[in-house]
Amino acid sequence: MLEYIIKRILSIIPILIVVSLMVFFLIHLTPGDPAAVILGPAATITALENLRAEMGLDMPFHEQLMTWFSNVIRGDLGNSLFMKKTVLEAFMDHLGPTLSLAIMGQMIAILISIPLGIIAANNRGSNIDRAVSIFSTLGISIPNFLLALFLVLIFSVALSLFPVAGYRPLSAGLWPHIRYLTLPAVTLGIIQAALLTRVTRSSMLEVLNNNYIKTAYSKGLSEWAVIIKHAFRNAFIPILTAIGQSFAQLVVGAIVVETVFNIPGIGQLLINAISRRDFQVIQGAILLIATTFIIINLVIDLLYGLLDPRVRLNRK
Amino acid sequence: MENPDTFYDGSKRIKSEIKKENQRLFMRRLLANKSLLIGGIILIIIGLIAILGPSFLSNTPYQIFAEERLSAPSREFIFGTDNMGRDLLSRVIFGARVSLFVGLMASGVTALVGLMVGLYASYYRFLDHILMRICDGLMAFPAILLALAIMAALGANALNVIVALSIVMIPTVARVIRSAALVVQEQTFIEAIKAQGAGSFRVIWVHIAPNVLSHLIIQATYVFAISIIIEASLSFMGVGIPAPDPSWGNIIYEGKIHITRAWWMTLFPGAFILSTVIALNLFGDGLRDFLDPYTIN
Amino acid sequence: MVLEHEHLLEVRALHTTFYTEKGRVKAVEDVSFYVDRGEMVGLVGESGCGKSVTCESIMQLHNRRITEIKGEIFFESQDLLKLKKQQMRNIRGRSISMIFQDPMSSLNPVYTIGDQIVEAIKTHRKIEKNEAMRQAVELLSMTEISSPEEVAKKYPHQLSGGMRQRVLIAIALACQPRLLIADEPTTALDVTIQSQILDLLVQFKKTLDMGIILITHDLGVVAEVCSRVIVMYAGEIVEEGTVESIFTKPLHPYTRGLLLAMPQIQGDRNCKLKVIKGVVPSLFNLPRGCRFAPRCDYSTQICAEKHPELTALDSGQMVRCWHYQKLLKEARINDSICDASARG
Repeated sequence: MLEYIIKRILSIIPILIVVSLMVFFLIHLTPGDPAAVILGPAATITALENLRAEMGLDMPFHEQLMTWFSNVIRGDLGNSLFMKKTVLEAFMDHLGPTLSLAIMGQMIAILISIPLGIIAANNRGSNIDRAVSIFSTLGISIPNFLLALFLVLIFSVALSLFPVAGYRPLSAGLWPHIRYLTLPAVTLGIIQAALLTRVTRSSMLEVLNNNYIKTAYSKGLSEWAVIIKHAFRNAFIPILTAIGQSFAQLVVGAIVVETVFNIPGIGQLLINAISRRDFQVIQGAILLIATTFIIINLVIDLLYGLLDPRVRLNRK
Repeated sequence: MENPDTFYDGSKRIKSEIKKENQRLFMRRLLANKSLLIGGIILIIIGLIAILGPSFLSNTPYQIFAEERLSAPSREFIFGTDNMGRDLLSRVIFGARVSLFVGLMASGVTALVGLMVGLYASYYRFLDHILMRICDGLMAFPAILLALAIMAALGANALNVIVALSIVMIPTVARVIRSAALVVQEQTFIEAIKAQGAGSFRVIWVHIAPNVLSHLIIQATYVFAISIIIEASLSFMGVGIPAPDPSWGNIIYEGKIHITRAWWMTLFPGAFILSTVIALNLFGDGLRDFLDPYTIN
Repeated sequence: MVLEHEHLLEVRALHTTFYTEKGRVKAVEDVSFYVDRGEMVGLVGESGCGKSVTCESIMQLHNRRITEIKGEIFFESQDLLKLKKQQMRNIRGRSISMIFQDPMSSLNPVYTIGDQIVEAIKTHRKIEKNEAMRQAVELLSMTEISSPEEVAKKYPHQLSGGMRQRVLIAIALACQPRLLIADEPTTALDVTIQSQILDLLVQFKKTLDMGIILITHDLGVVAEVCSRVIVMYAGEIVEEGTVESIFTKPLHPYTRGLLLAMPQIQGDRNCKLKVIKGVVPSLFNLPRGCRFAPRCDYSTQICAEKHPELTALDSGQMVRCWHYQKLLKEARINDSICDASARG
């Protein structure tokens, strides 16, 4: 098992290298001189040269690459060109709201999708199943910002139940925090649930076809005991993987939805950085997010091994 | 001895009967496939609106009626007007042209490059390693985030949106094509063709490519749907199609601040986005059921 | 009509119909038979003949939404089809148990062997977990598994096929049922393991005075352990009788075909192995007359047109064939089946 864990951990190193290379090259995608793009046409020559030096653009290409790599490995993502902070500080300042939103969204998604998926699978071909499948097709087809706006139109504009936009940190009290995050979290939750419902349904269907389900029924267990204890326990492993893999999508969804509700999270940081051409922040934030996802997927993979005795015991 | 002529006639008649029977079955399966049918019909309607719609419009999407700002849907402005007093119906229809064009181009480029990458990766082992590592790297980024980053570097315009969308989606298509092509290469007929001395170009494009085409068509449909979503999201965040050109996403972006007063700026373009993506997803699902030989009963 | 309810299990006019997306399927039609205590009955036929569906109808394991079960299934004078869900659950695993075809997939991969046996015990009896585990180990040792304590702690994938089948038997016997349904219990196993498992079933039949229904496509297995045989074809019973009568004078061409397809049959050494031509018809598209007619060497005009009824002979043997008298005559003339096969 230990050997398996080490192997798995080592296997993400090449992906991390490719990812950081790509983030490095991002700045060189910019047509022309990035410094000139950042400062605009009115920039003086000294200002341009200073900025080039600050960004390391005056160095030869291979030196830029080496500096970038050694900085990244030391955890130094550079300084924001506009805020008087390091990129890491800026990222951490904006992480809270995004994380809060993503976690609330994920919880809503799980609460919706798992019961729906189980019920749909257990009543395959029935009207309930059809309704669930329409729900998931709708959820997969609607862009999250659009669903967010539709929810705003209904619950904020027409019914005045929730604020149209804004954010209250947890320090301002739990209730206002939740009240302001409800619509964005429900948006993310519904869209994520659409995907997870499909996964739950199909992995339940696969499991329900197994003979051990018949064995469980013929022991005299009740339908729910069979479904929860025998079927879901086995279907849970692929569902967990899907939850983990889709967490990345959820966080990115959170970034987009933040811009709808003016929530000061990573999304706002990124959009502001893009409009000000704060390349250091863009690169740093994207590298951090991508790395986080790679690590989340690794953890999910390792958990998978822990949950499935076939994997756990065979890879000693 | 049998008369060779009657034998020939018989076989020809049987052949034409089989052909007719196959055509009948084909039509029946086509019509029985509800998702394919419904998705296809909605797509045709939206396509017709985008192509023919402008000739029925009385206002251009750029014409400003200053005193009619943010007016609700009426007989004169069926979809109402936007914050600058432009006819929303006209903007949504021209927006359809932009959004559909970007989506179509992105899925076309993605399908083409994805096909090439997938085929060559499946055929040459050394290429496989390099290409698939690059794909892994690209797929480590969530799609919208990567598109956002590329747009930040390239600058906002329609061409760059197409480039960004293609870069984001090529890896997925390449992977699907690669694994389908690997399955095809397992089959003995490829061995036989190679043994006959066919060159690699011929093997790849004449013998393998047609066998992965159904996968490519299905993927292209889904890519089209995702393109519409990502383009709308980028434009909604102000880094996609730049003003004053309309796209569904940037109309909604402009309507966002006015959402408490002008619901029509969100609802109408939103409804178009939603129905297009639903239609594409239905069409893709239908196509998958239709083309997948394993679901034939 | 006077109902005789002294049998352990009596199935009367069982019809099982599935309503699938592709249409209605009559998987079992008008099936009647009985099983007594301490008796092993063989249910024979090729796959797709309705053997498993018949037994799963007794257990009512099918999806209720798409399945219609008609007829009567008397178990200890109680019609199982009239029971409520809860009552039926009390029967399953306690009075009637079932073991399934594929031991590889019949055990839940994520629970230990011990836990799965304990579950079977605790579903029907309120006892302490420790006590249940002790009984589980005892059950395992009854099925002649070596070091049962260790096996109880293992997961299914760590056991061989034969071991898993023993575990499944242990689960089925957990509450000492009066009826055991064994669906192809030996098909997936090696020949040597097969006979060990069969011996085990025979032994438990005696010690627990159980009735056993043995579903199989292998007549050799039936000859070894059963007292009576029911032959099914395309959803209906085509022949029924004692093992002796079926093996010495099969009256249905299908039974005869199955016998000829057996590798080792007593009698003529020059006997050739014969396979029944064709395949079982699709239940969506059954022949109008006799369902076996398209594959039958004896088939005539009437076979194609009229569906034969199950006819009881004086000997107690039952057969569903227009030409059984012809087969009866043949059986009398040359007492060997192989001679008959040489003819055609």
